Amino acid sequence: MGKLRLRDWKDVASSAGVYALLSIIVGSLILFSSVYFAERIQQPGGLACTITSKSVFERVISNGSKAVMFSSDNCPVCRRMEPYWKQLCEREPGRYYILKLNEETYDLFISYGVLETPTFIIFRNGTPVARHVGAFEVPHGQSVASAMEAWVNANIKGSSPQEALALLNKYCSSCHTVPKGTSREDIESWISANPSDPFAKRFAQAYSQGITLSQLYNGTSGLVGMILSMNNTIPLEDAEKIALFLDNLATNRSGEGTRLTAPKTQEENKEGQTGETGLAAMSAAAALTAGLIAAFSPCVFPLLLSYTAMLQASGKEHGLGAAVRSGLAAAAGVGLIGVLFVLLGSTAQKINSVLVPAAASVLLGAGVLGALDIPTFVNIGVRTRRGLTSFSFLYGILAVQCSFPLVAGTLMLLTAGGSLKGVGLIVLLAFILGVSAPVSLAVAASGRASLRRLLAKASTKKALRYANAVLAVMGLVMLAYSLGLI
Amino acid sequence: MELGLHYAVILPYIGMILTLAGTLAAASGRRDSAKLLTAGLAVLVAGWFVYMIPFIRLDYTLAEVARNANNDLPLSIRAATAWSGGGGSLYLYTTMISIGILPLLASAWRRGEEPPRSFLIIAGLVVLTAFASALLNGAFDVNPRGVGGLGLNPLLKNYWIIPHPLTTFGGYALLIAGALVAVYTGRRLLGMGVFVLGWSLLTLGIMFGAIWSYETFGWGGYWAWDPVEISELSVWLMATATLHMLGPLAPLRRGFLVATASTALFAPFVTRSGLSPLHSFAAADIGSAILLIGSIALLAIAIYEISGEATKIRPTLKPRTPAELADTSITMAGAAIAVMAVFVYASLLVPGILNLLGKQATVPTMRQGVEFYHPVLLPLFLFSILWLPGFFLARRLGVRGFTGLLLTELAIAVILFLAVKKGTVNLLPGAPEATKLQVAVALPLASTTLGAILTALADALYRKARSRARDVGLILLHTGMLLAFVGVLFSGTYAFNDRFFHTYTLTPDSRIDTGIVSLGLESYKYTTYKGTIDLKHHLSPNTLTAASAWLGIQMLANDLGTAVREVEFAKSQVEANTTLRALTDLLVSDGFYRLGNVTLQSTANASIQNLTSSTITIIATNKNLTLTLKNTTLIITLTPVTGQDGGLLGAWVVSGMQAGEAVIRGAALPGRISFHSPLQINMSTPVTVTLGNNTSLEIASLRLYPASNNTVFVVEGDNTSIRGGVFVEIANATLHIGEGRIRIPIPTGPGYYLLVALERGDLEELNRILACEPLRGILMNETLPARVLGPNVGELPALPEKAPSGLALDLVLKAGVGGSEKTIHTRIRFEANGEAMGIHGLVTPAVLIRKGLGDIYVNVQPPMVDALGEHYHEPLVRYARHVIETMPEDEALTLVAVMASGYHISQLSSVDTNHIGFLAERYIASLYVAADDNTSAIDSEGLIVMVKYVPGVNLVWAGVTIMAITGFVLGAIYLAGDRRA
Repeated sequence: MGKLRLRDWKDVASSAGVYALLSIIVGSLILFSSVYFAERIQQPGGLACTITSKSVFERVISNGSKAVMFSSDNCPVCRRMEPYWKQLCEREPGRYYILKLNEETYDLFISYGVLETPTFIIFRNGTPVARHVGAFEVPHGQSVASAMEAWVNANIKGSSPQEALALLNKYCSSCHTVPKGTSREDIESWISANPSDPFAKRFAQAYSQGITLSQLYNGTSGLVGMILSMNNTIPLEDAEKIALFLDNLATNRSGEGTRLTAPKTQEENKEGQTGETGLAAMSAAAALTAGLIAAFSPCVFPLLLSYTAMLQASGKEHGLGAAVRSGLAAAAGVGLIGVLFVLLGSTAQKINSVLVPAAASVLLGAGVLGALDIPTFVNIGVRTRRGLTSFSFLYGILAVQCSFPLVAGTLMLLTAGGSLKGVGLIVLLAFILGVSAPVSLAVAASGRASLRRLLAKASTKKALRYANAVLAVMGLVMLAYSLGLI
Repeated sequence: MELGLHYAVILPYIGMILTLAGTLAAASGRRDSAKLLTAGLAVLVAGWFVYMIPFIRLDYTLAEVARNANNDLPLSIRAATAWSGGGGSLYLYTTMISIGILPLLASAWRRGEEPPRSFLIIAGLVVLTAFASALLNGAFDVNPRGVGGLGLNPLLKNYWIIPHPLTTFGGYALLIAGALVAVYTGRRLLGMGVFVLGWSLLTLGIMFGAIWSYETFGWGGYWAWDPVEISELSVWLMATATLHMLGPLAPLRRGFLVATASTALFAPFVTRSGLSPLHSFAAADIGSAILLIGSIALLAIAIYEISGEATKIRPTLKPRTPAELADTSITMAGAAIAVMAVFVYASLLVPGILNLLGKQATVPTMRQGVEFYHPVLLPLFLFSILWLPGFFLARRLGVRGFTGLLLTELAIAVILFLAVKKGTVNLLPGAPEATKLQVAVALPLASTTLGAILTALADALYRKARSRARDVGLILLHTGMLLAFVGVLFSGTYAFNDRFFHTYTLTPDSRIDTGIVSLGLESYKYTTYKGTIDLKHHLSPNTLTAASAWLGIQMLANDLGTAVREVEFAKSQVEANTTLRALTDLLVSDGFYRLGNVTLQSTANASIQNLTSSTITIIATNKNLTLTLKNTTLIITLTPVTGQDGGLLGAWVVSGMQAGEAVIRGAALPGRISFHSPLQINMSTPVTVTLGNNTSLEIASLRLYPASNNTVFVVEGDNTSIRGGVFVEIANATLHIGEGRIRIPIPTGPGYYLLVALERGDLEELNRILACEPLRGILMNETLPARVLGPNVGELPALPEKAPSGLALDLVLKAGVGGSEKTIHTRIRFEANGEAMGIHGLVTPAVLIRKGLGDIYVNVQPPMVDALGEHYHEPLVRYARHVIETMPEDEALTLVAVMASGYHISQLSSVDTNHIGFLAERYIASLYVAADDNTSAIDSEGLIVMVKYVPGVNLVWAGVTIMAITGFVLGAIYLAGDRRA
């Protein structure tokens, strides 16, 4: 076995990259811990029932059937209705929600056409399928809460376009013309064929401007009221269904009758699933690159070269078996340390969301510094004795220690990966491969000049700079990934 | 301003004279000027300690004591009243400047040296300016009558009054003193040492002010961009900029030192002028103008110095070596901080000057402040912190290492910004989008800088450099700053915005669950203060409060008082007369009789009276007439008579009948009767209609009207029948009630009308007023107004000299957070002087429950009490009750009137002067009625509790404290350096 001897700290001190990388490590750990806490700040009053943020709302309605009360603080009817809706929420959590109007959620009110509060909308996988504006009329002997519940239960599925068209025919066709279908052609042919029908005219007005009929009537209650006034046999529920249907129809040019947000949600769902495999692939690639860089870094590589020179000088031929064995030994050296971190990672699941972006930042930093040709390694001298296997094992450990700051990033990755079942292992293996493959190559190359030349070329400054630039980009991509940007 | 002789002013006057003499001597080049000046300053400093004595002893013959103190302040706060008012604080300021200058003068005296003339002159002028402003702000006024104290402003009455002004003013003073010493004498190290000590004090002072605001005002914020806060910040920024004038910027340091002195003279001006709603107790006047003029003079000198040196600066903008990198970094940072300082100072100076010239000018405050200052200060601040690693790690990083670091942190910031913009990272839930984006950029830059600076710290600790202590201190200082900044990023938006509050009601024995903390009320107790305040001599008749109280009492006496007296008079009459009593009972129960068919027969004269032309058409004379009314209802009622102004003049007891049909036998009507031409029947013998219950109406004459336009007249011979409804006005009758008789119709006074309405259950408000004994007593008392109202509006001779100074509501709360249960004692205070001054006396301190690095911020408010449609918070009602129960009637009335007016000062200030009386009358009456109830609304309605979570705020305090402590150490190192030299 060889002895490890730490060279003078002054040499450490000359390593600008080390200081920069240390700053980045500490800084990114601080940053992403802060981000972790900053995302989880909870204000009082918001139990699961009340939503005050846009992202929470979008997450909530994205799947399943949800009944949401769009409410604002200064509206007296809202204040009357809210306690009852809250009762339902507490009784049946996960179905009823209250969305409060504030600076952040204002956009949601606009995009769902909520011009008056309270407006109750039932969402099904992100699409509004039923809508009611204002207070709930209470039949004799019932309570407001049960009236609300009854409405939700009756409308939880919403009405299909066919049903809505049937309603339209049933109530309106005696005095007005109605479109034959919901496709764009149907709508446009209906509008152009009936220029004097006031219903078609009004609809055309909204359709051409891309706004809902509700907006034309200054609010859903205006539209519903107008429908009710047309025919005094229309029950309120049906009028509301017709209103919602017409609104959707007017703003949907593609003729599918669904809100724009729905398709996006589906895409996002798909993305969520591919996200994890993507992350694993990125991590593995980054780890492999890091391993290679570690192997070719100026502090490790000379060792390798000198040892191969020594091997050459010894005259012995090392066959494939020797190459493989030495590679495995190096792998074992790296693996020893790597496994520790993977184990550490499995107990640190919670800090995964901190470690992954922090690790990505460190890799980014290491890559940037390396690309700028700034040394990021620590010189540790090793005196070795004979023994290929033992050297390789030692080399493995050395490779880790020598480029410690760089490796730290990778090791954080391993720690983070530890909580992603299987991914941690992949990352570890990738890193090991990166570090130990050159050893195998070097051993195998001790007899082949061409491989030696290849190795020599790979260790030039320029190659290393390019490799670091690639690492930087990988780090950037990983960071973006971990924050959900791509 | 009333100058006079008092033992506390002797030393200050002597000190001033000596200082003046010393300054003049220095100006004329005399040799012993330094000694004169030193003596003067020393006397001024000694004089301060004597000056504090009357405050501690509550000697009201010194006017400042009377204005600020009263007898229920604890000793420590009594001492603090010496600097809580305008004049006193400026004298403290003068003293501390002197303390900052004396070390130089003293050591020069010891060494036998003569300080430079320029220094003596400027130092003397600065001290004299400060002294003059103290004098003009009333620090040395005497109060020969020695009448009692008004007490402190309610919000100032807590322990923060001690550290905050001392550190803030101490900071300003030492900054000025240090600057003058550093610039105008050769003792640079001494000057800088004092300057750095001043900087550290000011850092603490600003933090204390922020914590004070955070704990006391209850809105959860610690920075409101109030002009006073901005002025503190302007001094701090200028001082910080000065400390960064190193390396290439070093030639500018002189100028910036003087500029700091300018800001430090300007800040008390802002505090005392009318620029701030928070701190001003006197409008801009000559006393504060002197400070402004002084600061402008210093600013001119500063600009002169800076412009002289500016051309000599050679900054390295393209560094190639670590040394050059350090230079570039300090240049960049220094420049950025200087721009921030100038920007903030200018934002105050311009309105300040305009204000003094009489023009309206405001400084952007609160949300406007956020929109004005943040877009400028935040980018500049972020720019300056980027260079921290370039300075502290210059040798380690080198230029390329620094570049790599910069590129990395900027890349991380961009990614985080994009992620927050996209919405996949939800920083600070509930915050506005703009804030989230700003934090998304600021947090990575601050974190990486923090990482770098911690690396620098480790590096500095392990190196064995000689300047290790100083290096470590400096790095720690910047670490503290970064920690505070991160704390601000977390807490800022939640602290500043009160929409994060969630409101609950808390009754005893109930529990609120907010999701982050559960709260319960264990007990509550009201205690009246033992101390008193003197309103008689301190509430000026010119104030709106006094005027409203006066007008309200007058209206009370004339309006409600008259009404009540008349009701009582009517009541007494009715009680004395059984017939009247019987009539009243009849009227109260709606004298309404269904008579079916009524026949009246008598010898009578019938005529048609044309009321418009006043002609009479005689139908029958002395004929035997029979009038039959079918389906008749007889009503006896009381109709009010109102005057042109709507006032109640009186009422009439009248009677009438309604019938479906009328048949007159014996008179044939020639034509229609109408509403203007009724049929009048005068009976020679009155006919009695029995109403039952010992009641009958003896009718002598009546008038018949048709009930509508559709009435049909049928004349058959000598008989007329009128169908379609008739109305009969009983023009002359006698009502027999029991044993008595009453003429109908009969007029009554307004009191009687009110009495009947009251007994009927209408006039609920009047009922409540009468039910309230103390108020009723006042209203009945005709001589009371004369005793209580002076001849001119606002003069209130019965204002008490010893009004109770207030009361406290002590609460014991239980808070459950994270599994553990805490007991919290808190006190809601009501200070009467605040209400009287129109600045409101209710102080509801925040209850802070530590959660991690943040606070669960709980603001507890007392419930409101309703009376007569007005509402008051319960402590005021309790106070009024106490006053009414314990004080003589006239004093109580005046005090309650003042309280009610003060409470409603904003409503009263926005109405027409003619309406003030009416409004004030309502307020006074309602406060009396409210105070009549002994129960507490806390039991029925509960306390109003507002809760929000302010994350990371304790990191702000921790960071700033680290800055201040390391600053003190560094200052001490400077001074030690001076001592060795």
